[in-house]
Amino acid sequence: MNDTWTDRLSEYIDGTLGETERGALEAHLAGCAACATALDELRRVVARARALDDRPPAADLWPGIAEQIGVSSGAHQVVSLAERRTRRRVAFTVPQLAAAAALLLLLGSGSAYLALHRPPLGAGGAIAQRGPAADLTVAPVGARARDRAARQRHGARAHTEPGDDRLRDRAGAAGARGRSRQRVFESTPCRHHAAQVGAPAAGQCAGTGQDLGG
Amino acid sequence: MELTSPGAVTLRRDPDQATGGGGTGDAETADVALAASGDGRAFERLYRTHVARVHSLARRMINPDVADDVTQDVFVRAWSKLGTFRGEAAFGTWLHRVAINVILARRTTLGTERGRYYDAENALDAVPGRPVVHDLSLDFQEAIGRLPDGAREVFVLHDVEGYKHEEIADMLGIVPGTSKSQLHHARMALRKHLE
Repeated sequence: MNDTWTDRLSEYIDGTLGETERGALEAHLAGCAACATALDELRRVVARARALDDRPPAADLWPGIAEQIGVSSGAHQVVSLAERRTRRRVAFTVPQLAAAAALLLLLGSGSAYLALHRPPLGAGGAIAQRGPAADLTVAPVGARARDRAARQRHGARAHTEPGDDRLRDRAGAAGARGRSRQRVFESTPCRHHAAQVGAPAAGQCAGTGQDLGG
Repeated sequence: MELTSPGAVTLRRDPDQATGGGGTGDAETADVALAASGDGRAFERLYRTHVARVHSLARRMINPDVADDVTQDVFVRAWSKLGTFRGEAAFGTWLHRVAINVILARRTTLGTERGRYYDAENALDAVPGRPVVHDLSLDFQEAIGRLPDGAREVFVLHDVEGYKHEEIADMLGIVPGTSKSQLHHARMALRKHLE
């Protein structure tokens, strides 16, 4: 078998030989049984390669793929990979941590300021001075409710009782401070309801039954 | 080397038909569009249709032991790049190119080197010359797996997948003459394992 020609057999099979070379090789093949046999075997290799079957993996790979791309392999809940990565990124970014730290600092400073600059109150505001935060949020409501109730019961007579006026004024002032300090409380549904209906004296939220503590 | 653009790929075996999974036509086109918009169920259908071809390619090109892992990577990569698929070629053809990219990248990370280009003919001496099992196809595939890396890659890409030498040279970073030489050596080695 002539190696010079054997090395060109694949090119001959693939049809990439020039016309002159192809003619010379065919002339050689006519007299060389070994090269002719090799050519036949090479053709069979090519045919076998083209006939190879594609076989699926032994195990189903979809669950692992679904997990990686962020979709459920069972219920097929769709969450894109990009979205999944974004979620992870948002949860641990430095700006978010910095914002959280700033918020905590702001809240802490505000609380300290309010604690240090709280003016003394008289008897009308005594309830608001008992310390616990729950009492602070409740006292203005109770004071204002009592104030309104006093107006309704006594009418113009309230203006002739300076002592009551002082108490009412102090209670009203405490209520105003309470509103400015306790934004969270102001936003509660029950607080809105209390403001609309005039806050029952018992301190019980008429809309939700929530105990306002007054 | 990015080969995700289908370009002028001319495969002897149409990937969509080779799977036998009915991955052609409007249904697949619709699934591709749905998957591109984030529909995991549609992408699973595409996976079912093409997984056999992708897995077989990985098994022949690299190593059966890592074929599962590589196949997963191929589909994860395809999912993330679906937005770049413009429908200029069949989805199967596009996916096939994505698979080759992933496989070649994995070959690099595995430290596989194309260093035994010219030992192909003797590389299969350790492979049993005649099949000991009745599944001749498996024996032939085992012989492919024992080829030197370079010869195996060229043989799979050319004779199994139908790429041209110029395309293979571009993928593997070699010259077309080397691709032709490797193909011939691979064929010569494999002819000993024909029934």
